[in-house]
Amino acid sequence: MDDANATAAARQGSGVDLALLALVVVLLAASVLGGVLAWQAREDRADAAVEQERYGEVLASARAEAEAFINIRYDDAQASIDRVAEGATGEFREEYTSSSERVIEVLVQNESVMEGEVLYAGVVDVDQDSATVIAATSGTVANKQTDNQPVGRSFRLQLELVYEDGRWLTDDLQVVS
Amino acid sequence: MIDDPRPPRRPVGGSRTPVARRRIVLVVAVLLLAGVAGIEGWYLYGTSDPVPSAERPVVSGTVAHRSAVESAARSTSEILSYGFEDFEAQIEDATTKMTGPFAEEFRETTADVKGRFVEDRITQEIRIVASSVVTASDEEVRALLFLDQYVAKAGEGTSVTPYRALVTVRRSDGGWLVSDIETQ
Repeated sequence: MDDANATAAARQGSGVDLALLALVVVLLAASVLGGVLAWQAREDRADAAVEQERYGEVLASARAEAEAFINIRYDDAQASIDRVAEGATGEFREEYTSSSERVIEVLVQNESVMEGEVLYAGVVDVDQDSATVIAATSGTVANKQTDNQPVGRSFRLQLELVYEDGRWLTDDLQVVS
Repeated sequence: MIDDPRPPRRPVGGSRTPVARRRIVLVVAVLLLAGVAGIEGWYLYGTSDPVPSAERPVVSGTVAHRSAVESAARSTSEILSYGFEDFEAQIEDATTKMTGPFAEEFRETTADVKGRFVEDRITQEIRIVASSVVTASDEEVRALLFLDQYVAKAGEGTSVTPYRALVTVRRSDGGWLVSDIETQ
């Protein structure tokens, strides 16, 4: 009788062990599969983060350039132009800086003060080394023609940016009429 | 020599049978693997999606937000293009492209201008000049649009006014619906 009980208990114990072993195998397979998926997800998230941060960097650079472009004052003309040049490159920078003397002359002659801010900016297109951004600005302009009184002046701007030496720089800026 | 009356101490683990030891190993393995699988599951499905911020304004996939921006541009053009002929039907048709609350707001706004449109026989058309993404998540996208408004009045020519619009679209079962249009 004791032997029979011991045999039954051993069989029962062996069944529990088999069930545990099967569970270990299932969990091991799930863990390996989960590990592979988690690794892929980690890579995908890292790639997505780089791309998402690129949008932020492009918009920050475009906003800074647009604000420099619409904040020009005759009594601080050279500094105003330098701020635009700081965020510019290529032909746009060359054209802007080469004509700065004439621009300053016109600004001083008209006692022009243009002030404003970027209301919204959005990305039209972006890849690793170039981007197109549009920006809506709001502000005022005051000069001799306005009796030096600020008059509302809003712009629709389109900026082309390129990635150079770790920075996004504007190589074209157009007013969208 | 004094006899120790206590029963002899069993060495730790030493008296466990191989069956018991095997079971302990299996139970520990189950617990450890269940923990690992749980952590992996949380990493894959439990972490919340990022929300748009200044550093990461666009947190949805390119295809998704481009589709949303295209939808925002198309819907805005259709919503804001209407005229004195069959005015109310045009407004009702436009509201099918909007969320409920915005549709209510739009009905109220257009009711205010209906009289002027009919009296002056006005027709306005919106043409999209440029479109872009400002912020984007899987559920909501804000698009900056440059648009030109062509307004024709009977007996007068057509005037063109440039506008900028910040349009918000929200994902719904039927696609992207406009939930706000802010024009400047």
